[in-house]
Amino acid sequence: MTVPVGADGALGLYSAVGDAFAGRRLGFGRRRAALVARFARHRTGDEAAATASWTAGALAEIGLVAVVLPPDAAPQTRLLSLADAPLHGARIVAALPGLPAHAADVVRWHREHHDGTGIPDRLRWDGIPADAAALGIAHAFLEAVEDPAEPRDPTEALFTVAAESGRRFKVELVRAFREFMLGAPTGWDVQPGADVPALGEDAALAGLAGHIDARDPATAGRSERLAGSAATLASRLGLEPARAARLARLLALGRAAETVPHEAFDPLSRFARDHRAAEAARAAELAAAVPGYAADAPHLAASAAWHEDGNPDRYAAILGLVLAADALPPLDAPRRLAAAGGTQFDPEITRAYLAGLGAAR
Amino acid sequence: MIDLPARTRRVSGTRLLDLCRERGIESLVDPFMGVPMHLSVLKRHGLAVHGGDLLEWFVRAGEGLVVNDFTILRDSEVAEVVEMLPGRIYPTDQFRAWEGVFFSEDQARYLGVWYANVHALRSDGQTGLAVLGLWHVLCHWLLKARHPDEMIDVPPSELAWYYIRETERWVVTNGKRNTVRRADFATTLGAVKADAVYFAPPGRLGARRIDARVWMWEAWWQGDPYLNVERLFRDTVFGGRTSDDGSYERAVGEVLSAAGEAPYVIVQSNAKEAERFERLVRAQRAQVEVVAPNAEETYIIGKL
Repeated sequence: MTVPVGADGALGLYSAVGDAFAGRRLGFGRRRAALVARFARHRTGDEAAATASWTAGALAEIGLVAVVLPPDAAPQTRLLSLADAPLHGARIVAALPGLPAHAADVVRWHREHHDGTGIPDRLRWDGIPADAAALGIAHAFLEAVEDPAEPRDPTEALFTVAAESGRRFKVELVRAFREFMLGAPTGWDVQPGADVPALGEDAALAGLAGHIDARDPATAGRSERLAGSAATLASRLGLEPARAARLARLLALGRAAETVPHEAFDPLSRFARDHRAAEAARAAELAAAVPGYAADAPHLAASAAWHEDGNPDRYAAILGLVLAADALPPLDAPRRLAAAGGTQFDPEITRAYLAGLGAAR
Repeated sequence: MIDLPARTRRVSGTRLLDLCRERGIESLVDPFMGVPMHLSVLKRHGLAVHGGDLLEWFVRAGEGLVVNDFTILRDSEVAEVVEMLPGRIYPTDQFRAWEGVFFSEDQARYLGVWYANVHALRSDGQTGLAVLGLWHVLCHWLLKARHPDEMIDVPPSELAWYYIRETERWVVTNGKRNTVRRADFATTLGAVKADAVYFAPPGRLGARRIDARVWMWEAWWQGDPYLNVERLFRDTVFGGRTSDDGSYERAVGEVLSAAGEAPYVIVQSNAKEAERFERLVRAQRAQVEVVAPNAEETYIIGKL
């Protein structure tokens, strides 16, 4: 068994974003991945299948990032939009280089039901790949265990799964899952060490931020603009440009929830500050949930603080400044940023930014 | 006990959608559509879709999900389908031939009740939705007969209610004219023009190996438990004379010829059979592309 390095990096971040959009406790995707990978090993003894299952389990709900619904969406609109989430997820997984090719198909069909009533294709019987059907069972089991309203112990959760035998789930697969769980009643959610490849962190993070940005026309393409500005500014201040760019992309995680309201406040107003603080806290929470990004969480959390509050974190100060600069009208930005230097923004960082603007002219 | 082969061809609407989008295909016809879930998915995503089949219940299902844009069943109408109506005389022994063989006495009686109620529905759309919803009940019962202790007991009317409601959730409009017809492939392809002709050729003995759940539902729809659906296929292109390679390839070739005017033809196969179909498509199309996302799905796409 090898250490799942990819799980601790961008892959883990994608999984956490899927959890956030699905409204689940963070880490659900990783636990689902562990469970389904162990189940795949139990069923097939095939390491490649376990790896594909782990990957699909981690990323199963990432497609929700592409589902944008108004809060007052009609039930059928909601149903039809959500029915495409596995399809969006499959496309996202297929576009990530280095992941097992089979994982995208497992994501695409993990919500299909044995009786032909699932999404997105209403496949039936053995038309559903066994690995996808197994992921559906693992998902339902874990959902029952972690149900916030009525959490069940594993034995009760098995009954929940068994009740859908022959309808949502194939009878033989439910039987195999029961045998698997009864054979290993503990430790089923411990990471199995599937050999998951590491993603190219920068490209994967840029892609993830791009998906989140694309949910709102007002933010489309914003993360890459922020990353460019933050890297330039960091380099001017003698800080690490790559780190600043990475943090700027991670800011997008603050909007990783279905119900984030449209941001239309003046970026320097008090209202915008509250909004920003909530987003920064959410971004920090998501980053903290993934070992490879946990060190970034404090910078993200501090990015909404004002200079007059005594914020000594220079990366956070850069994030705050570039975010405000991006939201201001270009003609107004120099004057208003200069006026806010020393109160909202670190004066040295503001001067460096404005000097850069002057040089650019 | 009846044989329920779990193997079924994976016909994925979203996969077809990806293939169509990549090629700018806006309309598609499937002359062997079967249960038209894939056409329903494509319709939902804005493609104009057309289908044809020889089994009438497939066509009825298509009228419910493919042709129908708005009609659904109200609660009272679902109730009128799933339960006996007071004062009405039902042919409760219509499917007695299946009693004790495939179904219990209660189930056989319900099949008779549903037969009468569905045939009394007022619109093709409603009829199609009910036919498809109730088909799930038949499948459930047959599976339950194989696994009596592993599937929960659900009263027939409740199960029927659930599946009809589940089916009608997928009624959508795409602002386009979508059609289905009960016809052979040549009639279907002659009647509609589309950017692409899609088909998944049946196996060489496909006409003789029809899934019990499919022929039984045609028998139910026709009200004749002794119906032999093989005869429907006997004189068709994939009928009785395709058990040798040459005849089978000629049959596929005939379909490809009939699809000759469509800018694209998409033949779904698998890794094992792909070479044969690629050769047949190449014989008719100038440009051929093979897309194989996995071993079970290979798409041979021919372009004019």
